[in-house]
Amino acid sequence: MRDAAVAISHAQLARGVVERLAPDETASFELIAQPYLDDPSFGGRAARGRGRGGPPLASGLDLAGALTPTVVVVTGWALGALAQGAAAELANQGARLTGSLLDRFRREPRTGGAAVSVPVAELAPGRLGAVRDSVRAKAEALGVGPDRAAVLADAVVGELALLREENEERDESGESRENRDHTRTERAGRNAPDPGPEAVPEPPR
Amino acid sequence: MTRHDTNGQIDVRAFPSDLTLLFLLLAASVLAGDFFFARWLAELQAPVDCSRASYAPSGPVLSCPKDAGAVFTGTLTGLFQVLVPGVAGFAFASRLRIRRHVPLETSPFRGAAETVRALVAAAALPASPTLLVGQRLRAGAHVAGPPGRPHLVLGPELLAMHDKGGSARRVFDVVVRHELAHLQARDLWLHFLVTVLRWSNMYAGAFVLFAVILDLGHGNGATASDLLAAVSRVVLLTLLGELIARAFLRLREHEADLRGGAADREALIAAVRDGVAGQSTARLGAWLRHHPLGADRLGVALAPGRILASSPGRLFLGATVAGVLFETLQDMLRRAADDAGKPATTLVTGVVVGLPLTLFLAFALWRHHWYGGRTGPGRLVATAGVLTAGVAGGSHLALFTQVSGFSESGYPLDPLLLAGLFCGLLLLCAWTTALGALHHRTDPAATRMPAFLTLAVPAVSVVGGWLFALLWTWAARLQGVRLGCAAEENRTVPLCLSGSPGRDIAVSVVETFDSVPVLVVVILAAVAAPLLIRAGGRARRGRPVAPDARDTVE
Repeated sequence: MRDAAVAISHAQLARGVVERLAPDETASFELIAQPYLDDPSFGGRAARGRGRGGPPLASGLDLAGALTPTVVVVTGWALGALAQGAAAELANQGARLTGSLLDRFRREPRTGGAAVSVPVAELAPGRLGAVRDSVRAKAEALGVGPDRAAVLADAVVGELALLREENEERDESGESRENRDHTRTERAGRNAPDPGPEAVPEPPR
Repeated sequence: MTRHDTNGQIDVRAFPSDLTLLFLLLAASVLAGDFFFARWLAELQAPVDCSRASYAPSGPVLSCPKDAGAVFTGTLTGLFQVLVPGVAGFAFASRLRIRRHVPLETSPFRGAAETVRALVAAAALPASPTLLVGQRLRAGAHVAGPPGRPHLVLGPELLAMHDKGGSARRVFDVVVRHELAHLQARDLWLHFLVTVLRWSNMYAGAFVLFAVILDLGHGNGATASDLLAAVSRVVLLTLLGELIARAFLRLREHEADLRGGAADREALIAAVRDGVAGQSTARLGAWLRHHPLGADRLGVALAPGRILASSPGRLFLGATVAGVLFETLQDMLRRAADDAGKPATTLVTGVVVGLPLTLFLAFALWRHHWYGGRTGPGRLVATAGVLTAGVAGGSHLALFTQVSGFSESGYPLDPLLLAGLFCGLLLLCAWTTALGALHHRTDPAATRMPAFLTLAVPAVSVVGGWLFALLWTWAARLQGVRLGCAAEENRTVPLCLSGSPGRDIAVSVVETFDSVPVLVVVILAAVAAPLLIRAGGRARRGRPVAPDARDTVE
């Protein structure tokens, strides 16, 4: 059980959180989220370009219009942490948050919206509490207010808990591990078929 | 009157734009340079036409002029070569900015699409834009494409704000109106012109550099210092064009903000406040931005009267580009004129360039006077100093006079001439400001500006045109004397032996300008204009404030 792993799609996790928190953005999720899923540095790069005012005859305003980009960033953050092993990641969370400058220079995508293999043990209730704190801190670092950051962190953890429960139900029903993994991967692959390295995208602003 | 209570009342639309004049000066300067460049190239390449040959007066040397037809067609070809890269560059950049975007109609943002269509219809644009969603625009928006077929590109995060209602929906409306305001003001055409001018400036400059380097390589007289001077001129001239073009584009953004936010000023302020948070605040970098600094943009949104404020830097740019134009036009006319017509070229140059420069100066001073409520003597002295530096410095930046064979060009850096220019400009600034101040006393809200401008603009044009004709004639004659005195055979001419040729030439210039009718017209304009403005103000005083005294916007 301890060696078991679940493949979680970044896009699927983010979509689930958006469905909970901003249902009005569900229909446009793909259009808004795709650049952030494709290129984890997109948010930071675009914001830096906009910081100079943008091209001529553009609005030149860097507005925080939708929740989806923030969700994509924090879910990528959470998945990256879980995939690496939450303990190691969360132990360094303070350094990671203050080290956003280093993140800017990190060019290679880490998930690109693809499925990430997460050890089932990392989805245990005790671990998810630490993930909640980490996600909330990340959201606040992105400029989200404390109340909204708490709601966002709850939603992310809620989605992860659902995934864990689904996994446990399958265990109890005696489904073979191979079949279970295959099903999970297939489900995840619907949104992001190409597995890739893990990612923590740049903040959107 | 303080700055703040003035800002709350001024009708900013009543003032003519000094930056538009600055842009026109830039356009004239660049196009004159392009024409000069094209003609110079054509004359080099054109074959000689010996059917109209004549013997040179100095001896039995047959002198064949260049074929006029070939020079004409060569000039057109040269102009085509200089201007086409800008057109192609604009078309290419426009295409890049609208590629890979999806039509708004086919996107999931149906409610937003309907609202945008309604806003487009309400804007009554000359050409309806194609509506697109730019996936990588985030919450931004822009207009792009050929001016006749505009495209309005909106970011998905901005479109998502539409369905959120409340303040987000109002911000969405303001951003869309801002972009539509660009189309209403035909800013795509202006951007097209700016792009063509910038590219032709750089292209012609690069060609001149190439010519100087070739000349240097072949040992035809060009030296390393010539090369350095040419490089400096090209760089500075290109930078000058860029700075003016970007200042002009920044003004368009302010105008679009005010027009777009006219229906919902609170939403405009909210959008700008949120949208510029975290943007760069570097003042030096602000000169090269297409958009105003966040603080400036918010300042104008909060108090639109700020758009009237002028800066020494902007005045310097205007004076510098006028200096370039003075020298370019002078050289061009001198080459085109015959011996009898040459003396008149300084007069024509002085009036043709001095007039728009005077209007630019007057508009800048008047706008700033209404913004600040008063203009102190320190500001007048500083303005005159900045303009003197700009005109004198700019005249030494003109590219094509040096390359095509004239040894000395530019406003002579003679202390007497510089002092004359400074004093003339100081008097002009003081008199122009006095005109504005007289009207400002009875019309601080600028509700009767058309009447003031109808009287003041002709008067300022007459006085400024005359002043610059006088000053430029003085400068050009001294320039000519210095050029002539450099020749060995002229060393013994009394003027060349004079210890202060500037003063001697000043006397001759005054004699030239002693035409009684002209002097009467100038004095009449200088004296009558303030009297008439004052009389108009007195007649109005005591009447109730016009009921249509508008707020700052619309």
